[in-house]
Amino acid sequence: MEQVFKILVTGPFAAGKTSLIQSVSQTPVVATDVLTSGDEAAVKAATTVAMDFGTYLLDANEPDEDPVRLLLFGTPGQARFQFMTDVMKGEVDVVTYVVDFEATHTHREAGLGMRALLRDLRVPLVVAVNRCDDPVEAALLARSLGTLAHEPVVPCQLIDPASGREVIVEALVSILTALDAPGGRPVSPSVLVGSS
Amino acid sequence: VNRRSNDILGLDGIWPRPGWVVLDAARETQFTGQVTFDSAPPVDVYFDRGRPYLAERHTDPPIGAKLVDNDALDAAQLARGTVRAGEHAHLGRLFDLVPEVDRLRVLVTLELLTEELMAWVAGQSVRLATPTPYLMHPSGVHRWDSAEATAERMAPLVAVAGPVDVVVVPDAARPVAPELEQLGDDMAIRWSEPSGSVRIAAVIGPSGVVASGGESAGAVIAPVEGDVDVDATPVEIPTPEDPTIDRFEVVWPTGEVDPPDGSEIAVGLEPPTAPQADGGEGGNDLSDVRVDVGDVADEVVLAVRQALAAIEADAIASRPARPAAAPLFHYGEGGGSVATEVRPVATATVHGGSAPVSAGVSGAAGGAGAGGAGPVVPPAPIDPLVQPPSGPAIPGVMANPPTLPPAPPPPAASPDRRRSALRRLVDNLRGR
Repeated sequence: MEQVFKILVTGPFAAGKTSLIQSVSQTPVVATDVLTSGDEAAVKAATTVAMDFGTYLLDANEPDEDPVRLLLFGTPGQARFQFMTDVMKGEVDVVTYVVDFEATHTHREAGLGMRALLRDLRVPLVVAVNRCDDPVEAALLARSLGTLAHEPVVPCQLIDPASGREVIVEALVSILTALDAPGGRPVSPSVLVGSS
Repeated sequence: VNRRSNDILGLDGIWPRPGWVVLDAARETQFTGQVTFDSAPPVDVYFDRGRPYLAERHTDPPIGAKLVDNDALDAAQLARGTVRAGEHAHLGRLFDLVPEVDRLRVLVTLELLTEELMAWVAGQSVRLATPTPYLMHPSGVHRWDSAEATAERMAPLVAVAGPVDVVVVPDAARPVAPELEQLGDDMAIRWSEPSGSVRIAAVIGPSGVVASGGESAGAVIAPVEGDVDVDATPVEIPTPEDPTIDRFEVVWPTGEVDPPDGSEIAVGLEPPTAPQADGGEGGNDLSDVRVDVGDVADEVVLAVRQALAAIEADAIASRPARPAAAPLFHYGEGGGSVATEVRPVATATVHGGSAPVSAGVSGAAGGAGAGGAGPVVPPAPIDPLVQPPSGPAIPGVMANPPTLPPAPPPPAASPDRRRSALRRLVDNLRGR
């Protein structure tokens, strides 16, 4: 039986979501890009309006193995498409939130989106801080956006596909942790012990 | 799922949640009482109208001991300030019983301890939060910030402040009070600026006695004689010196004054007339106010009316309509999947003669409607699993309404196989 895992990639406008999906997808990414207009046109020429979609398939090599299919869904970054994230976030195994560390003007919107996402999120969350190499800085930014202390934060350079794959691996590890943790979202041992 | 959480804090039963979501919910709902966070260790946060005033872990020592540990109190002060009632050690009268206690130091220490713990809770993944309305902390510390206590705390600050009205205002700068010609039964008021004829009835007490000065408590002041005791003689204001039309100028905050022109709205008041015994004619009512809007073209009036109609139509159209059959959403127990169940409903109105005829999807009423002014046939019960019989097509009704395909059964993948698959996927991606 084929095992299917779904990753939702979301985040503010021009954070690098499509690049993240492209870094892993074996098939050409099904993109719904259109030319940008207004202020957005100054940032990039085209943007996602419905969703991006990429896949990764791992065949079974042994008789007792299942083929594994990874599906990656990317949401549009504009706030007016927030409903797409709301619709899809309950249907996936993990959510990856991408934020551009250097695009500070998007951080306020990123915080709003992140907190809206977290209000009723029932799956693990991984934060990918694009254009950042410092784990401490990345964690501080993610924390300021509203993530919890135990949620994984990955500094990355999504222009590099290898860096994107690290983010996806971290997301898959989060699914693995969630499978081991009863009650949905993973609870790290540090949370159970508690510290003040 | 905690029902009380759902009802009181507006949380919809999805747990675990970030702690700050619960804190936000308590603040937004102006919650008063205790919220117990199922964290490790559990934490109680106490709110007063949405404002947290105390937070403590279940493993924490008593409040008094924490205050002593943080040098806000000494042990003797704590002993003297504690009221013991059975097993309760109540600190609500601490500042009354031990006046030498540094009140601000105690309050600030408590605030710091509370804020530190709240920051910790906010960053935790809380498995559940249980609110208990109006459960205050048994130590009584909520009394420290009551209105009475606040007033007492502010008293020294007020005492050291200077008197409020110490600036000497020259007579010329003071506002001119209305000149009172007479007081008592024949009270009259003369306004300093020209005005229209406004008659003020006498101030009449509940028993009909004209009141004045301090005796006017409970009196009725009526601006028009028709609204009050007709036997009372209205007191007429002396005729203003200039009873002509008053022009109102628009003065903007920047100091600009709109120049009067032909389109300026002018309000004219009729000259005073003598009061009538029956209170009918001669009074100033709304009909006396004339609004001159100048020459407004009919086209402008028409355009304004069309705009208002369009706005109103949009407002009506934008109201959410109640659907004939709302989709029923069922959230799956596991895996977070959402199964959607749609109840198909199709109705149509067939205009046969003058009587509209309702038709169900089965088309049973179609023949009756097609024949002319037939009887009204109630819509047939709809069974989405039954295919409609073939019959004459009804405008607006689909002959074969689409039915939903049966939901696929959930995959019976074992967690172990999923874990194994995930590990292989992770290893594969890492090796690329």
